[in-house]
Amino acid sequence: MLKKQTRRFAYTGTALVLCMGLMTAGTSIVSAGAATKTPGVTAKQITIGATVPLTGIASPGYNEVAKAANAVFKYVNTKGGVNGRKIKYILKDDCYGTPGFGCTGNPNTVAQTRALISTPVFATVGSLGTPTQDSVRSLLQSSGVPQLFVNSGSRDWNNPTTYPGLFGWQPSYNVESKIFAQYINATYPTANVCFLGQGDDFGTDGLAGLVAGGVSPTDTQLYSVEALVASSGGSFGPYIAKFQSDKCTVVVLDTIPGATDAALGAALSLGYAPHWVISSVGSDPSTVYAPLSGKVPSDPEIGAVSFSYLPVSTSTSAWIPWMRKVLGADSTDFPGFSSSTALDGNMEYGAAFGVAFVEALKAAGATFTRASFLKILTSMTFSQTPSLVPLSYTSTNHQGLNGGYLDTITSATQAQAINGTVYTTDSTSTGPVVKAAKLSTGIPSWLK
Amino acid sequence: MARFTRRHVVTSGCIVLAVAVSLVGAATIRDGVALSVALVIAIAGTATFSARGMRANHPTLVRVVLSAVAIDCALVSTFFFSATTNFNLAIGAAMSIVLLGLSFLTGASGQISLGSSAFMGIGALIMAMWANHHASTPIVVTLLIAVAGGALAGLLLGLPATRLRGPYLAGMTLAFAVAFTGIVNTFSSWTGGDAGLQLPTSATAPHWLVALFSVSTSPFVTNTMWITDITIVVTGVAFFFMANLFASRTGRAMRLLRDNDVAAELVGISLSRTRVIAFIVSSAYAALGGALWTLINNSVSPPSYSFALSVTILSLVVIGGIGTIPGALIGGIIYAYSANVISWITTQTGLNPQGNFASQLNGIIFGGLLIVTMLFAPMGIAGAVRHYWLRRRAGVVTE
Repeated sequence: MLKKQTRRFAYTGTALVLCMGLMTAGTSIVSAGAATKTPGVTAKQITIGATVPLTGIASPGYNEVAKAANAVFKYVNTKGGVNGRKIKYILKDDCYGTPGFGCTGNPNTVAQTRALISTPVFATVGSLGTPTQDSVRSLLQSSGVPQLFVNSGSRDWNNPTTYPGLFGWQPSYNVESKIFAQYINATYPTANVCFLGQGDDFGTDGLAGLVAGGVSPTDTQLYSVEALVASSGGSFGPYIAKFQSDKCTVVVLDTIPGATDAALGAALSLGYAPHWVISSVGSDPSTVYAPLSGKVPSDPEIGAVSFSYLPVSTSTSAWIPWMRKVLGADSTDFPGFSSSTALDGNMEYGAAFGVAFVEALKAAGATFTRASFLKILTSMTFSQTPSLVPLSYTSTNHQGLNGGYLDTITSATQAQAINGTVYTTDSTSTGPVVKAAKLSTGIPSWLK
Repeated sequence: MARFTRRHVVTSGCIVLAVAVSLVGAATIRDGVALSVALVIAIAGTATFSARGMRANHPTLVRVVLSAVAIDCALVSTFFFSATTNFNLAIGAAMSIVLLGLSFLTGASGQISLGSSAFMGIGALIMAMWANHHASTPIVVTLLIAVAGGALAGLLLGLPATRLRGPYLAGMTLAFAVAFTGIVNTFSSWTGGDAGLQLPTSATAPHWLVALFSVSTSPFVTNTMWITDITIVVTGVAFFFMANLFASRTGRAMRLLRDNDVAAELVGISLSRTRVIAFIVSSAYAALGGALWTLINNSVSPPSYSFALSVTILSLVVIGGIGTIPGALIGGIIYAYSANVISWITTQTGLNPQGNFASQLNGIIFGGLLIVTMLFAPMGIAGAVRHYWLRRRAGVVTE
C-alpha cells in the first residue's frame, strides 16, 4: 500500500493529467469544423432508412413492405441509380415497438431511429406504424431529418405547420371509410350496419369517416390489440355475438390482419355470415388466410369487400408484371419468388412508395438539400407511380394519396375490382366522394 | 487552517495552471471559461475529499464534494461522446436511479418488491400527461411532480404492505405490477392506452450550450447531450440523497429492521412507519427513473412498463449488488448495453434471428447471470469487489 501522503499526491496528480488530456482534446473538438453538406448524400450514394417490424407481433405480412421498396431501389441501382447516385436503404427492426412474439430486433423505435439519425440518413422513408412513428416525430423534427411516406393511414402525418418534414403516403382511414359508406348506402341502403375498429385513431377515424359518409352504425365496438393478443383472439367472441344479436347484415372491420382473422373466426363458429366490409389495412387475402388455412373448410374472407389504392394483382395494369420482375430480381429479400408466387398487397405497397421516392429523387436533380427535396415533394404531382390516383402534396397537405376503388376478395390469394371506378375524397366530414378526375398514367420510360 | 501546507500549494498551483491553459488554449473565451470551471471543480473536489480526516469528520461534505466531482466529470465526458453513447448513458443512468431505490428497499430494509416497473410507469405517465397539459413547466418541476406522484403511489401501496412479509409482500407488489397495464388500458383516454403518449416537443439544448460546439455539429448531437446532462445531474443528486439516507438515522433504523425486527421494536423504532418510508423512497426513485425515461425517449409507451421489466430490475439489483450504491450504477450500465450485447451475440453466433432461442436471449442471459451471481457472488458484483478489497486490506490476500 502506498503511503497516505503519496496517495494524495497521486490523486491530485491524476486529476491534473486527466485535465490536461481533456483540455487538449477539448480545444481540438471545439475548433474543428467541417463544411456543412447534406447528411446521408454523397456524389455516388444516398442513404435512407426506416424502422419496420421485421420480426415480432406485426411482422407477418408487414415485414414484406419495406423489403419490396428495397427491391425497387436495388432495381434502380442496377440501372445506374438516380442522377448517378445509388440508393442505400437501411432497415432497422423495431418489432412495432412491442417486445416478445419472436422479436429479435430492438423493440424500441426511439433507439432504432436514433441509430438511423446517427448513420446519418438523408431521411426516413417508409417507417411503419402509427404509435411508433408518433413517438419519433418530434425527435426527427428537432434533428432536421425528413420523415417520409410513413406507413399508416393516420392523420397525424398531415401537420405541416409543426412537422414540415413529415409526410404520409397511403390514404387516410377517413378517406377509405367515406368511400365504404358510399358503397354501403348504394348497395345495402336499409341494412343494419355494425362497426368493429381498433381502439386508436385507426378505429376512431374509420368510424368518423363512415358517419361522415352517411352511415350510422347500429353498434360500434373498439378492440384493444393487447387484449386481442392476450386472449389469442378470444376477446372478439362477445363483439361478434353482439353484432349477430343486433341483426347486423353488414359488418365493417377496421382491423389489422390478426384481428380480421379473430373476427372472421368468431363469426364462423357462431354461424354468422354478414356482408363483410374490411379496411385495406387488414384485408390482404394471403395475409388473412395464412393463419386460418387448414383450420377452416373454406376461406371466410371470400366475398368480403375491401378498398384498394393500388391495382389489384388480377388487374391488367402494367405495374403488376413490372413489380413481379423487380421482386423476382431481388433474391435476397424475396428468395424463391417465381411466376407462381402471389403478389400480395404488402409487396405492392412497398413497391409503390419505393417508386414514389425514386421519382421524387429524380425530380430533385443532381444537387439537392433536404429543404429543396421537400419543396419538390410539395410542388409536384407524381402521376406515374403504381397508385391508382396520382400522388400529390401541398404545403398545407402532407397526407398523401386520397382515393382508390373497391374490390372483392375472390380467393385465398386474390381480389378483383368490383367495377374499377376510382373515387377520391378528403379526410373532412363534409368533403364529397367523387369520381377521380385524374388517374395515374403508367410506368415512366426510364424506370421500365 | 492558518498554515499553508504543501497540499494547499500544490492544489492552488494546479488550479491556476488549469485555468491559465484553458483560457489560453481554448478556441473562444466562452469555451475557456467553461473548461476551467470544470477543471477547477475536479481539482478542488479531489483535493478536498482526499484530505486527512475529511471522511471521518465531515462525511456529508465529502459526499457533496464527491457527488459534485462525479457529476462534473460525467458532464465533461458527455461533450466528447457520440450521440449513441450519450443516449445509452442517459438510459443507464435513469435505470440506475430505479435500481438504487429498489436496492435500498430490498437491501437496506429487507422488503421485496416486484412492483418497480409499475412505479416507473406511474412516473413516466405523470411526466407525459403533465407535459402535455402544461408544456411551459420547467423540466425539473415536472420531474418533481412525477416523483411526488410516485411517492403517493408508494404510500398507498406501502400502507397495506406493512402487514405483509416475504413472499406475501412480493405477491402483493407482483399483483400491482400486473394490474398496472390493465389500469392504463382502462383509462386509455388519459394514458393513451397501448399507444402511449408523446411529449409535445423534443427537449432542445439551450443557446449557451450550443455555442460551445462548432457550427457543423448537428442539433441531434447537441440535443442528445443536453438530455444526457440533465439526466446525469438528476442522477447525481438522487445518489447523493440516497447516500445520505443510507448513513442517516433512518437508514440505520431500516438496516436494524431488516436484520432483527424484534430488536428494532424494542429499541423504539416504529416498524410500520419505517417500512412505509422505505416503500415511499423506493417508489419515488422508481418514478423518477421512469420520468427521466420519458424525457429521454420523448414519449411513454405503457406496455413497456410490464411485469417483465420488474423482473429485469430485480435481476439487475441482485447482479449489481443488493444494498450498495456502486451496485446500482453497475446495474444501470449493464442495462444500457444489454441490447447491444445481445444483438452482438446474435450476429456472432449466427443464430437464426427469427428463431425462438434468439428472441428469448434477453431472458436467458439475465436469468443465467442471476443464477451465477446467486451461486458464486450473492452480494453481487459490487459486493464481491468490496469483499475482495476488504480481504486484501486485512492482509488475507497477498499479491
